[in-house]
Amino acid sequence: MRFLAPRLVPVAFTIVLTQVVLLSNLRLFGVAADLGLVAAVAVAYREGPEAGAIFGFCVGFGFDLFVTTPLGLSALAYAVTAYLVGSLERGLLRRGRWLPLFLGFAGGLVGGFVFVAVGILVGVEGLATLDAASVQLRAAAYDAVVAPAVFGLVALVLRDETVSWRFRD
Amino acid sequence: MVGARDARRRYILLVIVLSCVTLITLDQRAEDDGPLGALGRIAHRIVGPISGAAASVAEPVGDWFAGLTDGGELRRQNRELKSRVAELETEVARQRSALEQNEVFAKLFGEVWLDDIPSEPALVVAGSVGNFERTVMLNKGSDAGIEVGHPVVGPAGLVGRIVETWAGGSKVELITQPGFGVSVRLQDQRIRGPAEVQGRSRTLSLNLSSAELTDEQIDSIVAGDLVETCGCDGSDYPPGIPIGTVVSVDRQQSGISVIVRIRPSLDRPSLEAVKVLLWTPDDSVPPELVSTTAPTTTVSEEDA
Repeated sequence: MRFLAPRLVPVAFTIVLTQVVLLSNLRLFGVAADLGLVAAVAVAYREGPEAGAIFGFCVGFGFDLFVTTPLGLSALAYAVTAYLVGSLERGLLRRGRWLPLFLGFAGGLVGGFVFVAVGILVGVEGLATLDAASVQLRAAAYDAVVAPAVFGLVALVLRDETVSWRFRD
Repeated sequence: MVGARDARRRYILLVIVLSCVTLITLDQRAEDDGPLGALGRIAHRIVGPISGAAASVAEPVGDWFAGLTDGGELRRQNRELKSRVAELETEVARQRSALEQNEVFAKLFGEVWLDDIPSEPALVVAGSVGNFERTVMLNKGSDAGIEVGHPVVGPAGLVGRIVETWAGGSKVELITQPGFGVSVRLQDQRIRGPAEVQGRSRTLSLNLSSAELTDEQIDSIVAGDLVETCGCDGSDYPPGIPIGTVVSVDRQQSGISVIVRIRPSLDRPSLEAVKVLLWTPDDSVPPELVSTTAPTTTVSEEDA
């Protein structure tokens, strides 16, 4: 595994800041995109499950500082989702134009499910409802919309100097 | 080699999961007081000013986004609101004199009148960050005397309560947040009880015991009745803050209880400025009203 921290730390800060100050005001169908989750999935897709899970944990922890749900809940959801995507990626996923959209949507659904499931276990109110499921679905769709841009950013930051910056070389 | 790599991956995942579980447990136990709460306040303090500036730029774009997806709904709401405004203009004239009379009576009987409670005006600078919370961020915080638990009111009545505060900002849990609870009373019938937002319904459910009410009292509750905070003993809110209106009254088949659903009058999208009441349950009556304080009656006492 490459030593990625110098490249990913600024990305993590940027992602959390953008999520908190900008995306909370850019709601579509009443939900905000989960930029941190999509970025963790993108890192996992590119660098594997360990890097994805660590990045997801850090970004999720940063995001947790700004919400009223328990600290560590988003970190857990992002890390587990990124780990799963990173593990699947090697054997099952094929490269393609629509892959970021698919991974953004699937990651949004899985991340939302982990968040809601653990949230219910620790007693967060209002998660065991149909409306919460609808929020998850809408958020996952929004995640798919922002995924190409986030995957592009992650690819750009993690590119090897000698190769192209496209999603996977 | 591959086996060692897989073992290392699983080990990293295990460490992360255990760290998260520890964080969740510590956060749940310490709530806002521990070092993790302090970390959150520092983060808010750093990002707060940027957030306020970004919101002023992003909000028009966000409104445009919302317009794209909610256009039909907005037109329907606009039509309904126009006819409602006409009704309310007539009602306002009638209520004005009633309000003046009510203020006099409230003071006579020692109830806290909102104008007597010290307050701090504040601007709403940002909305909810996450998808599973209903909160807003204010531009005033602990340096303005705002503390966790202080009630927040807006033009339409109760907005919520302060759940987090730091120098230069604070976070308000809205009245529509799942699990939000408040002691309420029906303005006309003076029936009191605890109301709570159940699930993600955006309405408050007031669960009344049939045994404590007569059939006439239950029948007198109808959709449109006004609801306000009751300020009952130990309540987190002073009395008389408008909350919303009754939307339905359901008698349970068991006959034991009656559930009154209340739609809060809070209009989140148009909420720009609020007033934080610098009030805690211990300050139930302002000093100037102490001499006129009379004990409050409860529903059961009235029935008896």
